[in-house]
Amino acid sequence: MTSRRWDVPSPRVVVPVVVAVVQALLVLGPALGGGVAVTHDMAWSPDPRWTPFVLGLDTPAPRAVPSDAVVVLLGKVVGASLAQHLVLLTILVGLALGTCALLDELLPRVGVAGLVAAAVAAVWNPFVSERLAVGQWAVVLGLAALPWGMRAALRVVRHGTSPYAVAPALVCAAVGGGNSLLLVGGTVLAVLVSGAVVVRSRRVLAAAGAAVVMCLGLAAAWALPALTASPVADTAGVRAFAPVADGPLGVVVSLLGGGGFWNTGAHPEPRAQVLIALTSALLATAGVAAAVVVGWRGRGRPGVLLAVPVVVCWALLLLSLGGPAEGVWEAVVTRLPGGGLLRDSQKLLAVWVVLAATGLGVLTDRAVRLVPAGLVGPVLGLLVGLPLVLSPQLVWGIGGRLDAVTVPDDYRAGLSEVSTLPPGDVGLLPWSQYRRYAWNDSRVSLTLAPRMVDRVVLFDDSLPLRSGTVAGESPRAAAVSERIRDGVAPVQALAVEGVRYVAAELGGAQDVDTQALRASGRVVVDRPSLLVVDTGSTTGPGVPEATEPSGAVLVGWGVTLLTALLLVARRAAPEIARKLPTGLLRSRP
Amino acid sequence: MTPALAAIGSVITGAVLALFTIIGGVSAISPDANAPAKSEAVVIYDAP
Repeated sequence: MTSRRWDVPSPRVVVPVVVAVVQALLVLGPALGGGVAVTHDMAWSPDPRWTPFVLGLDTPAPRAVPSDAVVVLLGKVVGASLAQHLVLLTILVGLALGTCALLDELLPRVGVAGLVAAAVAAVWNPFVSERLAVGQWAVVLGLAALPWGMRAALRVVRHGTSPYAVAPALVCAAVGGGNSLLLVGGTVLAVLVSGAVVVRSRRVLAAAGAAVVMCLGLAAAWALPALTASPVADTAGVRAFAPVADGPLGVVVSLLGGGGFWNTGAHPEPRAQVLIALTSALLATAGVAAAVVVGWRGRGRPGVLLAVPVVVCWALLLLSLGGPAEGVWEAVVTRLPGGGLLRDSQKLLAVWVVLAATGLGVLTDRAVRLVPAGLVGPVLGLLVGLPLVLSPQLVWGIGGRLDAVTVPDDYRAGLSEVSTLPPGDVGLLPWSQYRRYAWNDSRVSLTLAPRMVDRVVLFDDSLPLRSGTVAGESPRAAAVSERIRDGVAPVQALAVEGVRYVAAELGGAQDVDTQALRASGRVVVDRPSLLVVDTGSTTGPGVPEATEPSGAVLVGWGVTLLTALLLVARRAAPEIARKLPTGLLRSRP
Repeated sequence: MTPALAAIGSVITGAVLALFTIIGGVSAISPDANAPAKSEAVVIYDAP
C-alpha cells in the first residue's frame, strides 16, 4: 500500500495566500453578494449570451473582445453571478501573489513580512481603486498578469528558461483584450530585449521575437478587425484621456503615487489630502527605487531589466501630459496604427505600481531584519498598514461603487424576447450608451442591452464627459446622431439606417417619447422597463456590413483561439509527459 | 531595546496609523457616491 505524504506548506506560502484572499474579500465585499455588479464599463450581463457585440461582429474597434466572450463562456458554466465573483477574486488574489512571486525572484530569501507587505501594497493603491471604480476589470487583469509576466521574462534572461515561460501571463492578459495585453506584452518585451543586450544572448533575443509572435497571435481577434476597419479617432479624446491630478500636488505627484486617472469621477476622496497624496508618492517612489537597487547587480542584472519598462512608461506618460509635445502625442494616438491603445496613457503606470509594491516588500524585509527586536512589530505594522490607510476607500466595494444588484426579471425577459423576434437590427433609446438604472442605485453604467440581445444593436457609442463629448467610432451611430442633431426624431433617424426594431429602456434618468415610439410601428415588447417597436424598416446603408461577420473578424478569432490553444498545449505538454508515465505506473488495472 | 522604548514606538506608530485612517476614512465616506445631478439630461460618464 502506498501512502502520500503531504508536506506542511511553508509560512512563506500560506501567509501571503491567506492575506491575498482575505484582502480580496475585503475589497470586493458587497460585489460578492447575489446578482451582478454593474458599474461604468463593467456591464456584466446576468444572462450570458454570445451576442454580436460580445463577439465583436458589429463594431469597428471591438474593445470588449475577447474579455466579454470569455466571461460569457464562464457564465454559461457557472452562472453570470458566480463567474463575476470568480473573475474579480482571481484578479485581486493573482495580483497580490504575482507581486510576491516577483519579489521572491528579486530577493530569493525574502521573509514573510516582506511578502505580506508586497501583497498588500499591490492591491491597496489608487491605480486599482480608480480602475475598479469604473469597472475596468480588464485593465486590472492586465495589472494582475503583469508581475507574473515580469517574473517569467526575468527567468528567461537569468535562468535560461523556455521562451514559452511568458506564455501563461500573456494568455491571461490577452483575455482582457488590448489594454491588458499592451501592459503585459509591452513590459515582457522590454525586459527581454534589454535582457538580450545585458547578457548578450541571441537566445534571449529569440525569446523576445517569440513573445512578439505570441502577442500578435493573441491580439488578432480585436486587432485585425480594428486595423482593417481603421476607425477614425477623435482628437478630442487625446486630451480627454490624458492623465490628470487626483490630488492637490499636481499630476506628476498623482502619477508617482499610482493615481492620476483621467476620469475625475473615479478619484478617491482621500487623495485630496496633501498628506496622503505626498505620502503615497514618496512610498511608491521609494518602493520602485528599492526594487531596482536590490536587483541592480546579480545574475542578469534584474534591476536594470525592470528599470527599462519603467523608463519607457514614464517617457510615454510625460509625452501624454501635453505641453510642447502635444502634437507628437496626438499624432501617435490618432495616426499610428494601433496608437489608439495608448490614448488612455495612465494605464501604462501599471509597471510602476507593481514595482512599487515589490519594492515595499524589499524595504519591509530589510527593515524587520535591521531594527531592534522590540521595534519589529511597529515597523511591520507601519509598512504593511500604510497602503491600507492611504487608500481606505477600497475597503468594502470602493464607497458603494461595487455592489451586486439583481437585474429585474422584467428587463431580462424583455431583452430575451427581442432575441427571438424575426431578423432585424435593434436601435437603442435613449440615444446614449450610458444609463443610470434605478435598480442599480442610479450608478453610471454602460447599457446592458448590447450584451443581452442576440442581435446587432445600434447605439450611440460617443462618450459624454463633463468637458465635452468624445466621438464614437461607429459610422452608423454617427449618422444617426447627426440626423437627431438636425431635428429628426430618433425613431426616424434609426429607420434610415435600416434598423427594424427600436428598443427603449425605460425607468432610467433619461426620458423617451414613448407615445411617438408606439405610434411608429407595431409594439412587440411592452414591459415596464422595456418598450420595443417593430418599425418594419429593413433596408439601409449599414445593414449588409453590420449583420455578417467580416473576414477579418473570422480570421482574427481563428488566429487568437489557435494561438491560445497552442500556447496552453505547449506549456501543458511537458507537464503531462512528466506526470503521465508516473500516473500509469501508479494506477492499478 | 528596552520594553519602554518598544512601547513608545508602538504607541507612536499606532497614533500615525490612526491619524491616516481618520483623515482618509472620514473623507472617503461618500453617502451619495456617483449620484445623478439634477441637471443631468444625458448620463455623463465621468460624473462625480
